[in-house]
Amino acid sequence: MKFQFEDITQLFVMDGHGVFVWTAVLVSLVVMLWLIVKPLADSRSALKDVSGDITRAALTRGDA
Amino acid sequence: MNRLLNWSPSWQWFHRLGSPRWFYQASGRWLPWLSLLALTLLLTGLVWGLGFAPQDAKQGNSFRIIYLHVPVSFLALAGYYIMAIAGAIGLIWKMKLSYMVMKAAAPVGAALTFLALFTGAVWGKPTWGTYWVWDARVTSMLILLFLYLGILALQYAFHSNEAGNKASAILALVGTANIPIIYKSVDWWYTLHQPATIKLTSAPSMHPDMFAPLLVMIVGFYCFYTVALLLFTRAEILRRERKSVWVRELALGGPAL
Repeated sequence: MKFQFEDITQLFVMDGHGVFVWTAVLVSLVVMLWLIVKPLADSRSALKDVSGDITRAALTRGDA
Repeated sequence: MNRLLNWSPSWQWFHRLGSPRWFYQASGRWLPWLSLLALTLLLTGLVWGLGFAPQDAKQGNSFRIIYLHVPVSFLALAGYYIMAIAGAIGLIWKMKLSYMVMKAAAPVGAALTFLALFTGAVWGKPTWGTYWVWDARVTSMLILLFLYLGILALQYAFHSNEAGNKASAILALVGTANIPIIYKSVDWWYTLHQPATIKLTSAPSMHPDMFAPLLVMIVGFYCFYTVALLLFTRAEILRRERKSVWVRELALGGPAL
């Protein structure tokens, strides 16, 4: 197995195809990151809402 | 009644699997390992495919997009089956968790279908000379994207969760008719899209040096898909079960799950 390009610059240029290949890589990485960050943020905010509700309910009851 | 339900121990796992709480706990234990595995495989496959796999004789370096295009397309299709099967289980056994998995599969599938179309477009430009053609494979994939988006939208079109779930599950099941059409489109119609590179029934039409990193990427994407599906399902569980005691305890930093 050997590195197919002369140097790192050539890896980015890819004989003129680099712009297509690296656009595909970049967009894929952004979308994949969104698939991880979005549900984590949703879970966080769901738990925050629940704890907020509990605190508010306790305050109105006056036992906090 | 309880004795009747417990009569067959082989059904216990099925009932346990139906419990959102159990699923939340168990998936929390699986996630770190799965994420690590997905990250390792995807990094290895990407570096291997982009830098070390030999160049394609006809397409040059643009063929390297295959290392993203084929795995995301695989998962876009497999994800649809998962969503439809989850919907069917929900309809038949009225399993709450199953509907949650179905709902979680929709955004993940839509994102991967978008990526399949996008990576295909930027591959098409240097190879076919155009970003887009209305041919059978590309158009049926676009329909798949609309099916995913339709199922996402249907969830919010109903006031009750249950009606939304049922309607989505039915749409998901009807939409499965599209899947064999996508698979077969490159054989049935004259199309610009090249025939399948990998088939289960025959040896890959690819040099082993090119094929090995692709295989690593496909396995890596299966792991990634599982991670994303679990994360979306967990978010949905917390949202739907927000009134339950265990979620309230969790929100207050209660017993570690």
